[in-house]
Amino acid sequence: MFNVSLENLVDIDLEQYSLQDYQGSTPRWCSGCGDNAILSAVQKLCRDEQLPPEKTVFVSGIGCSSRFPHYMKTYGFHGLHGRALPIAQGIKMHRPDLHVFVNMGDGDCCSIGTAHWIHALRYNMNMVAIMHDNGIYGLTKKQASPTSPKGLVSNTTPQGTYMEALNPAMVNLGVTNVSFFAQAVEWVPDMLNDIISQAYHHRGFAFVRVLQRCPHFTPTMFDPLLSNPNNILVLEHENGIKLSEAAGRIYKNHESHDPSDIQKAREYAGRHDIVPVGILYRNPEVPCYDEIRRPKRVFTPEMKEAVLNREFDKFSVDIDSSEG
Amino acid sequence: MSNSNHKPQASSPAVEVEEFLKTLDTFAEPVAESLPAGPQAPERPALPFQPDEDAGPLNQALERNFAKLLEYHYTAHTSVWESLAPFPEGAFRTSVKGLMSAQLYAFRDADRLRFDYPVLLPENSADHWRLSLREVVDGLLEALADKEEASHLKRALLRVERHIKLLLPKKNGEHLSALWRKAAAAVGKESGKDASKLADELAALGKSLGVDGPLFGFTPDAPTRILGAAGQYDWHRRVAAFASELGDLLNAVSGILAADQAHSPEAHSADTLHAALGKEGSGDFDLDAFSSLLQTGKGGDGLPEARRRRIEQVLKDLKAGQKWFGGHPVMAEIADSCKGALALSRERESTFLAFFKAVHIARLEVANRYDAAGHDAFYQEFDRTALLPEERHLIPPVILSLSPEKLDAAETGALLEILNADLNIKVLLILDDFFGRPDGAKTFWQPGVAGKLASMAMNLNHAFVLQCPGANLDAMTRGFEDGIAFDGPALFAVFQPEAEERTALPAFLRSAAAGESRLMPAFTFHPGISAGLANRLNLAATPQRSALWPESSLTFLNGETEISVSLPYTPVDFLAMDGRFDDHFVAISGQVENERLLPVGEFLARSPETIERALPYVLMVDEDGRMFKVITTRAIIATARQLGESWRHFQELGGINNSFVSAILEEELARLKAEHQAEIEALENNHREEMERSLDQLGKDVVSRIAAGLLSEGPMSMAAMPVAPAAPKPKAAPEPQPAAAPAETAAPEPPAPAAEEEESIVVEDAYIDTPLCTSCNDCISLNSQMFAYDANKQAFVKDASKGTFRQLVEAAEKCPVHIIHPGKPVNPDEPGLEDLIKKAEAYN
Amino acid sequence: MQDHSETDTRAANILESSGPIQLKEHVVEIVSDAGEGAQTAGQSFGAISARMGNGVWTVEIIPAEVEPPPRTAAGASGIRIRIGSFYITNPGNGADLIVAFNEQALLGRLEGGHLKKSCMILLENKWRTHSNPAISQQYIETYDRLVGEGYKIVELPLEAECLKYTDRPQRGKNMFVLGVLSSIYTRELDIARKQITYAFRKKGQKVIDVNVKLLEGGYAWAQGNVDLRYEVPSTGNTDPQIVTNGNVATGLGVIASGMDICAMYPITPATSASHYLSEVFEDAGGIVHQAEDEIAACAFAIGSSYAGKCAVTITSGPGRALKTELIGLAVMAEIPLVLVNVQRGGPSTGLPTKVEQGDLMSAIFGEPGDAPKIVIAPATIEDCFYSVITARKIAETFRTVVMVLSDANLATGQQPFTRPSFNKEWLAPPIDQSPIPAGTKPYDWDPNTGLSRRFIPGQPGGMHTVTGLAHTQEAKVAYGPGVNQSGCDHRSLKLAAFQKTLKTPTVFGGDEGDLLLVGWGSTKGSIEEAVTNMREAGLKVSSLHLKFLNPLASGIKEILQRFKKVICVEINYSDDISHPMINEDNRRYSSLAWLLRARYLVDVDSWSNVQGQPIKPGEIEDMIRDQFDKSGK
Repeated sequence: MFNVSLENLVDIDLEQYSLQDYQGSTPRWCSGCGDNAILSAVQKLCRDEQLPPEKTVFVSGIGCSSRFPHYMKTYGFHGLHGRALPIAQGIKMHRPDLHVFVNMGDGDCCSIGTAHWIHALRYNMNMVAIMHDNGIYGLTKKQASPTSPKGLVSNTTPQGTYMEALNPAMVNLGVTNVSFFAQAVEWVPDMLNDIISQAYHHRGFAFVRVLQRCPHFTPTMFDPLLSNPNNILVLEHENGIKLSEAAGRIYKNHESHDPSDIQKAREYAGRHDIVPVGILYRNPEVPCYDEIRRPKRVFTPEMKEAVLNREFDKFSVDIDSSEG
Repeated sequence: MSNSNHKPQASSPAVEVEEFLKTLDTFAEPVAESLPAGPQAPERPALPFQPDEDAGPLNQALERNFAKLLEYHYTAHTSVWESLAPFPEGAFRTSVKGLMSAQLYAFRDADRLRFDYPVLLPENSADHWRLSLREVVDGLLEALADKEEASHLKRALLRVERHIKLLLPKKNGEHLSALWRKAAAAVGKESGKDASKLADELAALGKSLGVDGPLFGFTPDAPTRILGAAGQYDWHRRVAAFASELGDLLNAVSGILAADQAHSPEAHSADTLHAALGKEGSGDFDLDAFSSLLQTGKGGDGLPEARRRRIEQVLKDLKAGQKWFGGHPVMAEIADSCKGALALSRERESTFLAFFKAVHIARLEVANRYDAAGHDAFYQEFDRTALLPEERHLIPPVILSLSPEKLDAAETGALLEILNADLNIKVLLILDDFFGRPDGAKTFWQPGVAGKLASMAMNLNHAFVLQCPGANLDAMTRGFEDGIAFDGPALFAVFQPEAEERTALPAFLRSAAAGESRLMPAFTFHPGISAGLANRLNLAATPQRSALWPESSLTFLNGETEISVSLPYTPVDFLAMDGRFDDHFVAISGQVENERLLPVGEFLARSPETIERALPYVLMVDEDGRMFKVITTRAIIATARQLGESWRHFQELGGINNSFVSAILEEELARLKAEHQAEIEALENNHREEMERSLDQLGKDVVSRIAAGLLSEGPMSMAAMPVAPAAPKPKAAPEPQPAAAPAETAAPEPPAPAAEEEESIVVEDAYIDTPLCTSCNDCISLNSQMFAYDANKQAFVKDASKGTFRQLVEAAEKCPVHIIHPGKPVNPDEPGLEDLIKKAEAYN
Repeated sequence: MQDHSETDTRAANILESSGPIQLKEHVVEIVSDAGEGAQTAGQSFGAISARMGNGVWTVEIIPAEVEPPPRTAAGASGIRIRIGSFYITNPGNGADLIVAFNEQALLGRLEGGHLKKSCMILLENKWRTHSNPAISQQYIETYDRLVGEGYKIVELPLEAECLKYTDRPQRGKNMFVLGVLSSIYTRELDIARKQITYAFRKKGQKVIDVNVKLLEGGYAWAQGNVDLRYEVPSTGNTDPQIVTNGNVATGLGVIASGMDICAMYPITPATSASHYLSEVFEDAGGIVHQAEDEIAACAFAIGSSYAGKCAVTITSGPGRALKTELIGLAVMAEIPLVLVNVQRGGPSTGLPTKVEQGDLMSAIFGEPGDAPKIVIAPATIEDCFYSVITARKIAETFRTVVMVLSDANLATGQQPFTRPSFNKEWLAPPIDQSPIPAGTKPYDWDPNTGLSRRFIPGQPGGMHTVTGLAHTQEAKVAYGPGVNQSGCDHRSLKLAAFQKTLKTPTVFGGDEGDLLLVGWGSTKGSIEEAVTNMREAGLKVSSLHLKFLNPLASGIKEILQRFKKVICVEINYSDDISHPMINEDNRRYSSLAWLLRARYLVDVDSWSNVQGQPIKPGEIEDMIRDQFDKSGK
């Protein structure tokens, strides 16, 4: 009669989580590293959504970006180079109650882990994957990555890289069952927060590519974007991100793009003159492998016993029980 | 089987009956010929008629007796009959016993009517909780519709239906399957040749139905049965989802103990290991060594004792509650008194409170969110306000079936308590009469209190209320569904009369007629609907709800001509068929004509002074179809007026012909009209004035032009044109000032326009564009006293004095997103300031 | 290899004998082109025999291709059924009777050395009159040659007879053959009918009816036309039994262990375990996830293990190699994992369908750095079932990787074993979500055992990040000199502690003597059968079979030292010491021999091969005799 739900009362009882509740070890990233911005955006998301830290898991591969879980005060899995996605899938399949995030670098995702990336898109399991794309291998001290711009001089390409960079946006948008693809730059916090929040709320596999500065090895890589904000095209929409006033003052180049339009999304993804930022594609209707596969009920020992006995009957030598 | 085509026709049940009568006719005629069993239909004309005889003597007799009849109308004294001048033979009856309302003539043969009863209460059906036998048979007919070879079955099916109805009075409550078998055999036998084949075919059709359950005719206990089934069905559905959640919850809670058990010394015992490693596996191990190894290993602490006890208690309570949500939900016992229902409901609530408390704690425990510090106290005080609405819904309602006789003062008080309490009690009040004679006195029968309980309950504005004739099965069952779903008490008042000697009407029709006549307007009242009284009160199930009385057309034969008239159905029509009021009605041949003889509808509608010398009548028909005008008394008219007023009351509450609205509307209309009129007048006035002014001006112009022409000789001057007077020159014009001090303002630096100055404020204090900060740590690592993060982990200048201006400038230079503005130095003595200030400019 | 003539004389007497000849055991083969149903017939024959109380071992003869060319020796597909009046543990030696659907398949078996010299041959004779003269000539030549070599051949008008019961005789002849065999081996026809009803239960009554008719037709035909009657008495074991192959038993073990996730990638010969699981796992709340590759399968399993119950990944050698890095991660992060490796021939893609025990070394030592883990090898099909249960339990108890080394011999072999009786302790406990007491560390290593309690996501207060990098007890990445040493110490300690729980394995035969054969995995049956036979022949030979390969139980060294000579019998590579290039300085031993020599400093010899075949008892017996001959006893 009073329309008071117990849940409300309980929430009042419990303390709210603050940003500090999600902050793990002090980051060891270089000063000025763009990973810091991603970390704080993600921590803000956790606080805003009040994710119970014990119910949240960050899975990463190997590389600078993959130190990420250590800097969260949640559960974390700092795994192997390229293998974050299948590990995260195993977690999510077994534990739908956990909030699963994946942090990968560009080498992690687009090079050694490419197979997993493609299939993760196809499985469309419920999780958020953030690719920290700085276009360079940082932890191993400056080798070219698949997303390094052509001509980048690195320790393995002293004459500059030979081939055009891989375009992760085009790959994402070309895979069957892609359901969410967004692109962000870490140096515009408003947009980054907005995009990460929408990725979190997406049903299915939300892939966010974040362009991220490496102040140590490629300090000038994103200068064209930083010095001329017009090189960034902000994709706005009522179903996408909205430019904040502060960011709007700097990012004057924006267009309206409906994230349900995959053709248009692919056009933007293929543009060379600008870098599209925003939610390029979103379709919450794509079936999710985890939802399809996961058992719909809890299985008791008695149920398992019944199945085993049925199977033993099936293989029984004793005719009567095999027919029973 | 689909019952989609049997969705409620909100119109009158009578209309529905008529429709089905037609259905029956199309199939039933040939069947009727070969029906040896059952009452033989008497020969009768198809329409009611007025005897084709000379009306003259009749009218004269009426004229002669008019004063006497008026006296009767006013006094209801039957003694007047003794002094009446004679009417022609058979044209006058002092008793209306055996006559039937003309409007009901079409439905006179109860056996041939198809209506919503008998009703089937299917067991274990996911789709229906009630079906009428008619719907069941129609479903089969529909399935056979396209099958030419099955045409003999179609007829036979209707006969099965009738047989079941004939069997029912003795077999009320028997299962459809059993009744069907008997009826199929009987129909088979009747058909003569191929008897067993037909019986088999019909029996097979019966088996193909896929539904079975008890069948009930239109008996006084039918609403109780139907309500019970509605409750059971509804609860079963709600419980299904919860039952599976409960199963999962039980699993999860016992999982907490089991997971803990896995770390316990018992789990590490040699015996358990032997079992856990499998018969073959364990042979390879020294189980004692294994066990002692695990005992020494760190297993962590077990569950705290308080938590273990709490979980064990929760498990116990959950398991105790599980019986309510198992395979066969336990529906409410049916209480037999208001007091009993109150007690039962309170007892049940406390049982369920304990159960749901366990559910709540279990959910918290499973999520590791049980915090003893806060929750212990909360759950000590756990009461019904802590229950979620959907949980209150899972407490099975107490159902109380009440007959008006039981309502003594104490019980009436308890009933009011129920209807005003937050208890899930559903009261079913079965009415079989509206009238009572106070203390058995010989005064006139008056509508009793019981009949008004529903409208009283409505005024409490707390309970769900349904009132309807039991004959309107759709309205009744929908009301039951809504009332059961309602989170709180409900009252269902259902008019379900028994078959009675005193009236020629079958009980079913009597119930339906009560609804038509406004004696028992069908309505529901749902206090949970917030948007206005008119939405809470739903009159949709009352036929022709916008009208005072429902009208129907009647066709009868006047001599050889068919005449159609539109007739209202009023309480007078209804009461004319209630034997108790026989003294209040007198019948005269339908052929009688007199301008002072008024149909009841018209009589009731007229103003009192115009009916002082008039007699109201209703049309009735005798067994042979002959029509009579039946005159009634003032007492009956008064009752009709009273009932009409009650109905008007409902209409107004339900937003129909609301008098306040009408008054406002009229007022508003009048106002608008008046405004409109005023506007027209104003415009006309304006127009007139304008015209006058123009004409006046024109006159003046003409005069002045003539004058000008006369003066100037030249062509017409522009100045002479009628133009507005020239504006006077502004007095505060700045023109004189520039002339006053031109030298002073000729300074080399023109002052910047004010607007521009506002945009580039010269910064004094250092600051950071915090919302744009990317948390990169650059400034913080430079000087964490000077720079700090806010609650969003974005940097701001915490204290510029905690460092040098040099650091501020450095930070500004370093900041990858250029959002640090160093401002001006605080300490003017800092070395190298000049250079720094220059550098800082780029960032300020 | 010597020819065992015990049954030969009996075979010679067949025609004179009136009642059925009593046999202790017999090996029957049915060979055909692929897709002719020889395996269905053979499995049914095995099942019927099991139902009549025999010990049975069946093993499929599988060509490498899905559809090999017909009438070729390499393309032969078929089955071997060994039945006996004792518990049968291996496929046996040469076949005693073979049914061949064409003479080329027969030649394949003959030339592969799979048939006894005395083998009775039943041969489809439709080829004799084949319209293609090349074919009929091949048939006649082969027939004449074999008869010339002394083989007893009964020609079967298979398809001709089957035409009486079906218009598709090529599809029905297998059941006709089953009828023929049922007659020869005096099987109960009623049991055979029920078996057919069961085998075709998914195909509908019509198919069952036709096949029963064919069975009865074959039975009747043999009664009238084949004068051979054998009887293999029951073992007398009346325990309820089930018959499965090793992969199905593994699948059943996965369900019985209470694991909920099996992640895999198709690879022969492991895949059929996943096939079976895919069919039934969901009924028990489990999921078989076919990942995009072997690596992902292992990562998926590790992810779900980390988040809750231990998971399993099933693979074969090449797949295991791909999983190497992840196995190291699971060891390092102490995440329980069960890995079933159904070994096949190697190296590289090697022999996909053939038997080898080549992965022992890589199982134990395959990861970079020190990655201690537990390695178990089931020796029987029943073991395949229980090993998974044991593996799950110890993986979770010791927070480590447990590898189960099955092989193609077990995977495809079928053997009746005692019906397991469910015990709820087999099942993994529910996922622990209780709060972690303040101050507990995620790697709170017990200094004596290295054991610590695993924190599972969802447990409040247990938040930490597992990592494959060197880490402290708090799971913090640290590269200090003491940190990695301490981590490695404690992980190794767990293995030592586990080793203390193992019983010393029992010696089969005598406690001491002249020769000890040491084996592991699927060779157990053959070795022990050979030892039994040779001990009966008076030789002081014993055997020791190891189920736990890593760590090895205590007491093994003492056993080895009680024998004058120790030889490891394995199906993996070792250099032949008789080769002129090979001597004790460069000889590469078989895997187990390496291990035993290294650990116990005793002289252990290798007797092994990589021919892709299960080792036959007779081959071992020959070797034993050789050994005794050499040593002059």
